[in-house]
Formats: sequence, structure tokens, C-alpha cells
Amino acid sequence: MFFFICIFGKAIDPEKKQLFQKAGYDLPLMPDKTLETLDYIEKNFVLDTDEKEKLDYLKIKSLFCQNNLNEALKKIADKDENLSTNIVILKRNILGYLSIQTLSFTKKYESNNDIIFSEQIKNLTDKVNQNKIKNISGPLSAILKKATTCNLLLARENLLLLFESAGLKDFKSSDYFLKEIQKLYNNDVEFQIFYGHFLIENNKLDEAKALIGSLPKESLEQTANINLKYEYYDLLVDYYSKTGSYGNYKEYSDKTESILKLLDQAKFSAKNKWFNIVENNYKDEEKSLLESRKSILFYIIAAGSIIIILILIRFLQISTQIKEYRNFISKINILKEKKTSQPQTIPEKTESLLLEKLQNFEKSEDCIDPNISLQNLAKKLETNTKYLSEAINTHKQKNFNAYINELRINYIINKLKEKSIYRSYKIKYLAEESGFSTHSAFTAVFKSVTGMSPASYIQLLKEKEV
Amino acid sequence: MKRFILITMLLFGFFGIANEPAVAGILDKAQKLMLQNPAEAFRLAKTVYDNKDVNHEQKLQSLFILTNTSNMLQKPLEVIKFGNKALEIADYNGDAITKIKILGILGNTYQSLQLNEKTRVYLDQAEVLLSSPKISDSLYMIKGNIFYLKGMNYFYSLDSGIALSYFNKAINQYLQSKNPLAEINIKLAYLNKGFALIQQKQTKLAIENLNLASINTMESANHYPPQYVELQQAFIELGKAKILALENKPDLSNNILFEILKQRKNQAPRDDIENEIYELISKNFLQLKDIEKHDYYEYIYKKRVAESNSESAKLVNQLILQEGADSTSEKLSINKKYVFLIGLTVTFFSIIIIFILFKTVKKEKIRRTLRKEATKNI
Repeated sequence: MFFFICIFGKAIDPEKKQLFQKAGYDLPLMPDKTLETLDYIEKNFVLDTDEKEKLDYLKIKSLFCQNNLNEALKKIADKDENLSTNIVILKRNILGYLSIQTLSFTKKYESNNDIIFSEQIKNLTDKVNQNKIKNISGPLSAILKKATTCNLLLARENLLLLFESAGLKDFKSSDYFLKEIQKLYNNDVEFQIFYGHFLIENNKLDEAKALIGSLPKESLEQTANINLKYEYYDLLVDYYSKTGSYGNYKEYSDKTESILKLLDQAKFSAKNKWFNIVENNYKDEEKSLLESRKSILFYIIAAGSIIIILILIRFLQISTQIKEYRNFISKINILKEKKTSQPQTIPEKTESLLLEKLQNFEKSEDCIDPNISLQNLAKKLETNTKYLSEAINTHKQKNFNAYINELRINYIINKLKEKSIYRSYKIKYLAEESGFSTHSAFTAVFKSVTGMSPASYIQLLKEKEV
Repeated sequence: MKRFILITMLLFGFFGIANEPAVAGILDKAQKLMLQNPAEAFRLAKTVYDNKDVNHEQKLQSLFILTNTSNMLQKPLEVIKFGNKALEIADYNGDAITKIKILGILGNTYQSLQLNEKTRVYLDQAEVLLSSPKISDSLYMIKGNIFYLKGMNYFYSLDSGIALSYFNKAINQYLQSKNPLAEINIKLAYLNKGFALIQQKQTKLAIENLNLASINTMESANHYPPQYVELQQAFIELGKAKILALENKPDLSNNILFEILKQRKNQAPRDDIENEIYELISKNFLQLKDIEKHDYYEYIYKKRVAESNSESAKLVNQLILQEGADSTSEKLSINKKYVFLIGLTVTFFSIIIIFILFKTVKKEKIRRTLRKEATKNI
């Protein structure tokens, strides 16, 4: 029976190792059992990367042996560079079985010994099949020498194909090779079956009979490995054809025919599957390329738009500030002009007394009283509302409300200049402090007096101090 | 398998007259030559296809002829190449009838490559289009062809029950058609219905259908394509041999089979019929307990099947390579398009950003000067 060789010589859990060995041992005759064992390993043990690769390899091989090609193809659908070396070799074997051409190996695998050896065997098999080689014993010896030190599990399928071709073309020259390979794959029934074919081909019927007798008939009859079963029945057809036993010949001939139909159907369906896989892979590649390019374009547009929006926001901020500064400067200039030219229209005695009282009022902080009115102030300054209003209009060039509002704003400006703590107060508080009933009225008056908003003014004060 | 190719050879004739007189003349000539000299028709259509001045309609006509003649010349890769291009234009033009015809030819081609699933995709699309309101009920011939091809598709995936229902549908359509080609196609439908019935072991019905598939050239006014009558007759005889084998008359069955081989001696080899003949001969010899002859004919049969499969695999491999090349060129075109778009977008945004940045810097300078002035006066 074919023996299992651990592919990745690492020390592993003895139970796990034993189960892996069992899975490999069962593979040729009981691939269904192999799959069960692998499922058990997967569920009950923690596997490292190498073990997972080994598990995948055996699973694919088991599916292949059971003629479940579509499932096997699904597992090898990925690009070579994303698969492990052993699966790449197996992938090529499966695709070769379906007569699907594969591209040459990528650089990643060019120097890999297992790959190099598998290619050597394959090349020699092709040459033998095409009768391009005269004496095959030399090349076969070279392969045999390498086979003794190689990973036998990985090389098995290729060696099996070479074994079949070499035996069919030149049994005499290849007999030594065939015997030695059988020794390497001790008890591997598939090699024995092929050897049986060559014995029959070369009329060594007694030896063939002995070999057939030594095969595990019951296991072969019940095996889930459809290809192996076909080869076994085909060997019997060959044998009974030579011995002329019609009953047996007919029986096994019918059996091979029905199995061959199953194999052909699976191949046919698998070829369709592979074509769909390839086509979908190409479509997926195109789709992912398109998506990646679209996302690059989207990010560029998004980044560009954000940058533009940010610059525009700054641009608008600057424009607003420029407007405020301009208003402020123009107000200052108006004030300066007013100070320089003040008209003299009211009678001097009453006027000077009232102006003196007004000056005192301006120096006091009474303007921030929220209840102040023309009547209240006239009473306070011991005059009538008409005189007061006229004096304000003539000497201050504004009405009473504007006069009080300006005094209040000047009051708060002084506070802001003198006490830096005021700069940290909320506008609402500043409005209340200066006698305004609402925050918006304060902001509007402040802006009309200074030309800029209270916030900008505070900012400017801060910057000046810095 | 090549029985498929035969049917499209006999149908899908083309449509309107092209506008431009010289081009119209060439296309008209190519169309007339399609049956008698497909190679010349292909050459003529190719000259129109390569002409950059032709309109969409003429391009579609030339592609249709190229697809059809490639099919007749048994160049499946060319059929797929031109067929897909024609499909794109027909889709763009909203030309449902041409689309159905092309889908039928493509489905037939994928079937000849043994890509059954892909075949079904195309034929299902065609069948959906057939039931659309755009398609007139009177297009019996086109409907019949699509049903026939679907029947063949099921027949090859060994579902002879469903295949039979499609052959019946196809026959029903052909019977209503006034197209002279329907008379030929209906024979093919009867023939394959006969084979499907043999698979179901309904030998009496099978014989009836094989008889209906038979051609009486004396009675028929049709001009049949070269070798068609002989091939059809050979298939009918093969069907009869299969029935005899089923009735445990292997010797009689073999007599018919050897007669077919004898008649086909001087004709171009055809895998579809000859492989089946060798397989049946080998089985008949097994029935006759002649192991030596069984082994001999089985060897020939297996060798021939291996060669056919190898040829088919070669085509599939080429198709996969072609798909790969198409995908690479599609990826290159996507890259090219997006490199251009990305470059254009980057340039567009750079110009706008530089412009507004320049304006902002200028404004900032003004702001700073004004701020200085305002600070002085505060």
C-alpha cells in the first residue's frame, strides 16, 4: 500500500501526525475515508499554516480521486502565486488530466526543487509519448535517482504518468525503472495495476495472473476512487481478452464502459466549470481594476473638492474681515472729521451749562442703565426734553438713542481695552453689561459704531497686544 | 457534434439592403455566396468590416456574415470573436432579431467546443428574447432554430426527455414557417428527435421520426447544400443500426454500419458520425462474442475519441488564451481611460486650486495691511 510521507518535516502533535498519516495512507483506495479524517483533523486540532496547506492538498487530492472534479477545481481556482507549491503541482496535474493547458511557472516557483522535478518528469513523459527519445533507460535512471530523494507524495501523479508511458513504449528498457518505482511506492496499488497492463502487453500472463491475484480485489471493487476502479477493471478486461474467457471479459468490459461514461461526464462538466472559473476570474480582475481606478478618481475628486471648499471658506473669512476693517477705518475717519469741525448754533449760556452736564453724564456710567430715556435724562440734568434733544442733535450730530447707544458701546470698548477679562466674556454678557436688552441689538449697534462685530473687535484687540 | 454546425449553415439569412451602393453590393454578394462559397463570402464581408466609413447597420451586416461564414468554415474562435462584436452592435441598435440569431450561432459554437454551460447561457438569453413583445409570432424559423439548439444542448447533457420536448417545439415552429430553409431544418429536428427516442429505447417512435427525417430529393424543390443529403442519410442509417443493436441484432446492425463506412470512404472524415459507428461496431462484436474484433474496433474508437477530445481541448485552450488576451486588452483600455481621466481631474483641480489660492493670498495681504491700519486706530 502506498505510504504516506510527511511533506513538511516539522515536529507535530503525535495524534495529529498519526491522523495525517492515516489520511495519506487511505487516499488511493479510500479517498472518502481520507476526506472524513481530514474533516476530523480540521474540527478537532489547531493547525498551523503548513498543516493547513497539507490538509488542503490532501482534500483536493481526495476530491480528485473521487471524481468530484468540480469541487476540486473550485479549490484550485486561485492564481498560482496565491497557492502553495504542492497545490500548484496538483493543480497542474488536475488541469493536465482535463487536457487544459497551463501557463509557464512564475518566477516565484522557478527555483523550487519540487516544481523543477515535476517539470523534468513531465517533459520526459511528453518526449516518450511523442517518440522523441530513442533510448529511454538513461533519462529514466536520472529520474529514478532524483525520485529516491524527492517528495514522493508531490511527485506521484507525474511519476505515474511517466510510469504508464514508459511501460507502454519500451517495456524492456523501462522494466528496471518500473520495478524500482514500485519499490519506492511500496504497496501503491495503482502502480501495480499499470505494471500488470505491461505484463499482459508483453505476454507475461503467468506473472500478470499472480499480480492480479495479489491485488486487494474487494477493496478495489468498493473503492470510491473511480479512476482506480476503472484501471482495475480495464486490467481485467485486458487479461481476459488475452486468456479468451468471454464471460469475464464481457462482465468487466461492461463495467469499464459504465465507469468510463462517468469519468467522461465528470471531465466534460469539469472542463465547463474550469472555463467558467477562468472567465469569472478574468471578469473579477477587470471589475476590481475598474473599481480601484474609480475609487482613485473618487478620492482625487473628493480631496480636490475639500481643498477647494477649505480655501473658499478662508477666502470668504478674509473677505469679511477686510470689509469689517474697511468699515472700522472709515468710521474712525468720520469720527476724526467730526471732532475737528463742530458747529456752534445754541445760545451760549444755556448751551454751555447743558453741555457741561452732558459731559459729566458721559463720564459717569449712567448710560448703561437699561431704563434710561430722554425724559429721565432731561429730568436728571434739570432741563427739558426739547433742549436736551436739540443739544444732542446739534453737538453730537445724532439723535438721543444713537447717542446713548454710542456711549454704551464706548463704555464696553473701554472695559474691553482696560480689563482683558472682558475679552473672554460671552457677547450676551457684554450686551447686558452695557445696558442692551438683547444680544442681537448689541451686536448690530456695535457693528454700526465700530464697523466690525464685537467678536472681530475682541480678536483685533488680542492681536494688538500680542 | 458537428451536426450542430450544419443547422446554422442552413438558416439565419440576412436582412435589409445597405444604403451605400458599393458597400451594399459587396454585402449583397457576400450574402448570396454564404452557402455556396463561405470562404469568399467571408473575404468580402471582411473588406466591408475593415472599411472605416461604413455605418452601424452595415458593420452589423458584415459581422453577421463573418460570424455565419466562420461557423460554416468551422472556425469556432472566429465565430466567438465576430459574434460577440455583432452582439454588442445588435444590442446597441436594439435589434432583437439579429441578437437572437447571433446568440443562436454563439450557443451552437460553444456547444461544438463541448462548453455546455456556456451554450445554455446564450440559448437561454435567446429564448428570453423570443418571448419579448418585440418578436413577432410569425418568426417561426428563428424560434424553431433556437428551440432546436436548446434541444441539442439537452440531448448532449444526456437529458433526452427535455431534449424531446424542445425538438417537438422546434418541429412545430418549422411546420408553420414558409421559409424554404425550414424544410431542411425540420429534417434535422426529426433526425435528432429520433436519436433522443433511441436513447429512451422507444424504438418504434424512433423509426417513425427517422423516416420523417429522410429526404426525397426528387420531390423536394430545395437546393440542398453540398454533402448534406448523404450525411443526413448516413445519420438515419446509423439510427437504424442503433435500433437493431437494441433489438439484439448485432450482425444486422454491423452490416448497416459497415455499409455507411464504405459509402463514406471518399468523403471528408467527420468525427461525430464515424466515432459513433466505431463505438457501435465494437459493442456489436462484443455481443457477437468476437473479442478480437471488439478489441480492434474499440481501440479505433478510443483512439479517434482521444484525437477528437484533444482537438476540442486545443480549441478550448485557445479560447481560454483568447479570453485572457481580451481581458488583458480590456484591462489596458480601462487603465488608459482612467489614467486620462485621473490626469484630467488632477489638472482641473490643480488649476482651480492654484487660482483661488492665488486670489486668497492676495486678499490675505490686503487683510493684513488693513488690520495694521485698524490696530493703529483702535
